[in-house]
Amino acid sequence: MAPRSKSEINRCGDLLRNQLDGPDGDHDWERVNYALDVLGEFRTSFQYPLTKVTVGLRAMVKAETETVTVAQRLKRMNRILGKLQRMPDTKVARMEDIGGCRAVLATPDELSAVLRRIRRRWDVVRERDYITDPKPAGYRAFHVVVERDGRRIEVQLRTRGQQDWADSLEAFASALDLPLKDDQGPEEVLEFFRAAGEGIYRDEYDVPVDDEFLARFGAARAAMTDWAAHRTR
Amino acid sequence: MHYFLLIYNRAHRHLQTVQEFADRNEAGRAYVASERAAQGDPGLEIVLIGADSLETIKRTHGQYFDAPGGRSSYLDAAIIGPKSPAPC
Repeated sequence: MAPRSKSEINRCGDLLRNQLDGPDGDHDWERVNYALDVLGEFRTSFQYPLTKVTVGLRAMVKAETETVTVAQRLKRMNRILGKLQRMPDTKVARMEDIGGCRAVLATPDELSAVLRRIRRRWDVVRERDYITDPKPAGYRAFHVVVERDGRRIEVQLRTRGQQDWADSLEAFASALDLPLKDDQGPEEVLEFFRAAGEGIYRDEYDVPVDDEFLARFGAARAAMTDWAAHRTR
Repeated sequence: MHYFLLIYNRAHRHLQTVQEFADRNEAGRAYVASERAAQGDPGLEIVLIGADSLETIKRTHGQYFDAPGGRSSYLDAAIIGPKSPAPC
């Protein structure tokens, strides 16, 4: 099958964004299903370049530590569609996280060592340092974008604590149907995860835990507990 | 590399099925087919993850497995246990 042009892929993304924004009854299901097929094909085209990057990442992690914790994933279609709806200027063919791989490292030093290897060995298209500058809900990791076979692949480097934080937030968000991954949700919950993320960061990066932080975390934890006790769902 | 297709039941907070594939193309086709079958069911999360083993995935995508997080006392207030298992 001939590869689709970027403009066709983007047209299908735009069609899905517009269709999904409207009421169910207005959907042209034939066009929706065609566009989903095209996006599905496009996503599948990331699988091989993604596997190449993951294999390379494994080798770099293995050079730094005996415990290799590396996995890859293709972005879920509903996450792709959700991103298109949240970010109206986003074009599918330019998304950089359809194929992503992740290494979980035991310590910040291991993470830095793997990052140095990546910078030495790969042409890095983009870096996003969410450790220095966390996302609004408190997400921390170091993201690197590289390109293989014309496909941009996101590499996520996380410490064990950053991974535990992300697992916890995702499980909580999924269980209570909250859009925390998109930095949205009740402020009590967001502030709790922000504060918890900072606490974990301080532990892992040897930043002293002072009274001011302890007071902030205590208040955030109490507000979260109160929110959980009174939530209606 | 092994490919694992996970179907997670959000309503029951339970990993409903895990299918393992050695062939990435076969895994990709199963991924699309499973998403299509579950289209419109927001209660299911379907994801295709590649790794050397399922044990690795438990460490990289712990949210799909029982009792993720909680390793740090900072996260204790966010622990939500599994509900009753989903019917087979």
